Amino acid sequence: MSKDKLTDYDSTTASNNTDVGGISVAEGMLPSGVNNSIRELTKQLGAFADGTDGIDVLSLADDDASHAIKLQAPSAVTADTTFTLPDGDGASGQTMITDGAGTLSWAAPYGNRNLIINPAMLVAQRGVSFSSNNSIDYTVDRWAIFSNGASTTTQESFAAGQTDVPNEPVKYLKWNISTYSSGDNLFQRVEDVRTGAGQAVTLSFYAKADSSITNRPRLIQNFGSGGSSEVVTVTSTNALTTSWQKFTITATLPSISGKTIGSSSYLELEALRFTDTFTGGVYIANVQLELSSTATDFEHPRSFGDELARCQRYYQEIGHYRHLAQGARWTTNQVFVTYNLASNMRATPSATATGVPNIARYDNGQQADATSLVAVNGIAENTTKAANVTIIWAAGYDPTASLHYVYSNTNGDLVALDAEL
Amino acid sequence: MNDENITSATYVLDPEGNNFGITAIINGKTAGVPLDPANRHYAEIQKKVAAGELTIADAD
Repeated sequence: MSKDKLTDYDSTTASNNTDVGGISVAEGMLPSGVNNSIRELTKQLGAFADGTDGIDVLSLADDDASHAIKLQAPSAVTADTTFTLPDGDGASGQTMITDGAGTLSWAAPYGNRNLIINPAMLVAQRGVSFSSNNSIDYTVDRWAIFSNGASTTTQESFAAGQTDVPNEPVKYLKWNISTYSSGDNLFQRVEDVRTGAGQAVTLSFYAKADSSITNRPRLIQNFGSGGSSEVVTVTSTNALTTSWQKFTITATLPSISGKTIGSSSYLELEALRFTDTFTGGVYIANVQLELSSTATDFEHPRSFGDELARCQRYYQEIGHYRHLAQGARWTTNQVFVTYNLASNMRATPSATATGVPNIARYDNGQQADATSLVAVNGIAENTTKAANVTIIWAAGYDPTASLHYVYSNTNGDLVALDAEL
Repeated sequence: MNDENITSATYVLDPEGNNFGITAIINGKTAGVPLDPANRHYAEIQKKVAAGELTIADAD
């Protein structure tokens, strides 16, 4: 067989290599075969060098050639694939990723790269429908509407099998605006203003609207209570239409050098904030904010349990219908009740009751309805691990006994604990 | 910055007669707010007090 490329040669028995590209180099060869075979060999080396002809295995031997690191293609390759390496090394801990077209680059390892909690709008401890009017109103977990206008926000479901937003997402958020006041926005706060400071961050999300509207997300570095004044980074615009589209925006956050960081600092993402007035529905799904100058595929799905646990650092509910808790007398019209929490909270939470908890003494049937709740600071070593909720009751209840119990008799009653940023 | 809508605030006393929390009306709902600077409601109350927009009433 004519040896037309490097892989045709016998790599163990030299005497078997009696031709170069069909030019005989066997005993008794013609003198002209010397230069012709060398020319043929250099052509074959050139074909190897430019990638026209491949080799089976690339062997990189160690210093004494006793062992080697070898690279090779699969035994069967269905289509030519060219990988282009990145220009230089990445940062410590980075990994190599592909853009899907053969270009490789360095990036932070996949997994936990999305800074947004509840990015797929799955967790909805507070409910699935919310009204906003001249206030901050939290909606599905970790997502809040700031509205000087009027709107309703609902958690909605994708139809199974739809392909507008890939990979079968389950939920999206609909912000239905009756009156849009300049500055109204959908936002999420990411803990600690150090997050992404001085670095490139990339926001990606899917969105559409009932009619065309220009969206201009913002990133706000808030230095917390007692900290420096907040710094606003306005990103580029994106044009929402009536069809789902994926939007990708990269921005570099300012350095925080010289800034004072106070208590509970954060990075705020205002994902939806419009340049003009708007009436109608705006829809958003699969939001991702990552420390990268390029967008990677949506980190989907984190498990529901994982996402719920992340959310409960900021919000959770206790004392539901028929939950019975014990309390101890504290003052003439207060007991404090310690509830176990599903997970530690970010800070001592505010407490808000839906419905009115009942309180009763253990030694007789005397009862009263609570009038307010206060989450106590400074009782336990770490008040984020348990909720020490003080129940204040209406007049007419004898607090003499030291032990009391607190319960709810109405379905839907609960105590909401809020440690959002 | 997106601000909270806080319309009233009243201190709550502990058994020794010290302020240990605040009962506030936030977005139209009664909430118990701890005296914790890391709590966003307390931080917002402090900001409004400093700006002269809110006064925390003494406990009854």
